[in-house]
Amino acid sequence: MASAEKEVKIRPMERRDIDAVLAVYSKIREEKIPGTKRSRLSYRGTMTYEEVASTNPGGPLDLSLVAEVNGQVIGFIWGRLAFVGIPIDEVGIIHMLIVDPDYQRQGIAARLVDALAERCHARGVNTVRAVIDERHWELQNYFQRLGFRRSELVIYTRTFKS
Amino acid sequence: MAIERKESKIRIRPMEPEDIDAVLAIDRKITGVRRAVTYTDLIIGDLGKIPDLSFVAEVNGEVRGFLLARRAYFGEPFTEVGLIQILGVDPDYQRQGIATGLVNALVETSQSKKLNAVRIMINQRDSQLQPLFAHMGFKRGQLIDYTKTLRS
Repeated sequence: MASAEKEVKIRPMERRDIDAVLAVYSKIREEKIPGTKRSRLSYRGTMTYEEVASTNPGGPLDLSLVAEVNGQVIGFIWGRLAFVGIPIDEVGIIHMLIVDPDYQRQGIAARLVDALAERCHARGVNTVRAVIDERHWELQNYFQRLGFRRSELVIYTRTFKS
Repeated sequence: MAIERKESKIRIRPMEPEDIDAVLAIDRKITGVRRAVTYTDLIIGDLGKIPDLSFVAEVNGEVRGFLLARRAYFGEPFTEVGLIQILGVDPDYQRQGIATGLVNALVETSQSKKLNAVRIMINQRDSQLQPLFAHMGFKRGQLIDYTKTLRS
């Protein structure tokens, strides 16, 4: 277990972080909820270098950040600026928020969300969104504690047969 | 008042950087808001390219509708989807199948690019868009949105 005294540094994600981000992602994907065979992530697929690179970390629309301890990435938030809707709204969208299980319950995820909100604010964007499965109460409660409120937006999806 | 309409021909094609002015004009016509120039930069966004899932609809050679979408990892299951960011149709050209044509183009392209799904966020009070997308085979799933408004 890592000690809470180690200094956690939050900084913008860069392209050179992609491998480290994938490592944290893989670690949590393989972690099972205690007493079950279920992963904490409902998504069971893998994420590739190309997929992360295609979001252009460090690019003009990127809001992503990493959390580092002793130079090692132990968490990240993946977010993008987007224009959505008519009338067009400029918002920051949180796509993913992950902290290494060994470093959870230390407030790191909250710091990542706050830092992302600050990045939005600095660009004059005053709305941050997180899309959550409505069955996922733990995550909903978590975002509520961080000051998020359920909006009137609903998500419609057309899934293709594979 | 009877308005005589010539038989109009709708053509859907990928959005090009040159379309931005026409896109902004439609947005302004819908919302009545003139937006800052940075908006254009951000639509073009990364790498100076139009997102590859964006389309415009031309009626008799003029852009009358647009759909801005991009690839995104979004929601649960966490998967690569075509995320519709903006769908706009000139108010004078609505109810002619332009929105349907644009969404169909996105669906076809997304399928050919092996994406898993196409997704859009709609206000649950929007009584215009919800039936349109339901009719086009979209389903309301269990994804919901949490928003935080920052102090300005």
